Amino acid sequence: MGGFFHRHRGVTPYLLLAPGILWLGIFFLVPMGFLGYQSLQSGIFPDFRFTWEFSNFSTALTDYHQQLIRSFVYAGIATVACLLLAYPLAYWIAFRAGPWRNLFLLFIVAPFFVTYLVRTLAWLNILADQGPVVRVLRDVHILAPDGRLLATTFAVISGITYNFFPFMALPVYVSLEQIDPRLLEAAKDLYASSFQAFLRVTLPLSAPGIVAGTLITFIPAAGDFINAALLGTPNQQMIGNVIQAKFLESLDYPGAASLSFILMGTILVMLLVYARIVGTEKLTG
Amino acid sequence: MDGIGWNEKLTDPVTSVKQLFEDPKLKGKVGVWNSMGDTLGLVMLENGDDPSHVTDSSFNRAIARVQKAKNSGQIRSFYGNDYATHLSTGDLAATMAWSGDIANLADPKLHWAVPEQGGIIWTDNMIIPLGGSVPTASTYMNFMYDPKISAQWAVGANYISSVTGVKPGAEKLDPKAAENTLTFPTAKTLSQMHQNDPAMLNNSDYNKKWLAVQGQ
Repeated sequence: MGGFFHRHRGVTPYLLLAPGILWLGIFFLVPMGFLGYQSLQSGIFPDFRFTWEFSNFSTALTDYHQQLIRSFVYAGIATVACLLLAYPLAYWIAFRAGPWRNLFLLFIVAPFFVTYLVRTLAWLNILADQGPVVRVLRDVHILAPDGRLLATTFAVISGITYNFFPFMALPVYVSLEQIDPRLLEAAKDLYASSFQAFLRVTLPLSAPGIVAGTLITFIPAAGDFINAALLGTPNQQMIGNVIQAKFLESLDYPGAASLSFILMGTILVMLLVYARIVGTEKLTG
Repeated sequence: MDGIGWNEKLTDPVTSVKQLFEDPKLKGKVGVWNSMGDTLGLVMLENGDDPSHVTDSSFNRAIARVQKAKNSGQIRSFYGNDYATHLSTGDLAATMAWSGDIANLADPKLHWAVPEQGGIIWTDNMIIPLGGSVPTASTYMNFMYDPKISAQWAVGANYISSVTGVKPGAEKLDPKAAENTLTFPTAKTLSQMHQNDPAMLNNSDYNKKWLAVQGQ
């Protein structure tokens, strides 16, 4: 075997790449190609015909720009909220938790032991109008007497934040955990205050984790539909809900496929802009 | 049967779609279905239109009424079967509701009524797919249509059986369940029922408009 690789040294990298390329080809390119083909079809279910129907894209944008913008706004707010909550937690676990580190990491990952849908359904009970949380908030006048948490924008964004929190916390933790504490000592030796040391040493060194966390939180959050479906109302519907309804209820496959492409394309453009701003070396760690 | 359910802890009886859509005391606590035929059927009856012969104008009148109630915040959201738990937990005070769901919950604070302007009755259907074994499927269908078997089904599922002569069998199985007028409705209730227009359900433009009201 070793002899084979030695004799065909030029081919070896390609052989090693083959499983990955094959996987990408079958599970990414083929479905993408099919979706692209479908997005340019016209007709009514089940008689769709390929007609280069580019107007599917303009119609989708005209009809659903509101849900598209809403998805990015909700995903953006949730990503920032995740970062603000996850960073101090990850920092504390990385630098202060000592022997309890693994236990706290387990707490972050623990929600994954329960399916996404069930976790979100649990919030229906927690935030219920007659539930204890709303009752307390009404009693202390944070909520109006007829105010509610469920079926609001707040509930949907909170649901997304809650569900994607580990995607932010884990990469941030990994980047913080790798920081050599001697660098912080050195900063202090050079008369940096704790805050300055954090700002000039810890924060820049944890940037790859922040960038990775923001991406893997924002991208799936923008396409999410479970939170809006369960915790929201028609006023909080996101683009994922529209795509789901088009595929499964109105059976408008070309419309759904073109919206999926618009969503992917927009995310890709945002990603490129983000990469340009933060620099690609941070993007790849 | 399509009708209105309400939670007596949160509201007085709600017996019309007009009350459901316009009573300020119910604001933000009203549910409707996300299925077009059921919701618009009840709204059309309220509007004095015939849900079994839908025209563009009767459809538009009905959808405008739902849109108005949604925009004003009267309608909280559009639900599948999950409206029942929301009604039970108190997130909804009143909602369009299927008789069988309310019967299944058997929650003493929940009530169901046929709206004053009438309700909608529907059936779940059995279909033999192309290429399916017709003798096997027919045997199963005949089995399900046996009054004794259908009585067991009605008592278990709490939905109305489409088979005649089921009640005596149900009385033997479970006399209390056989008294439930949600599962074994009176002739008066059945006389208030109407049917949906299948052409409306298959109209893709209508479906698109219906999803648009739901923000989709």
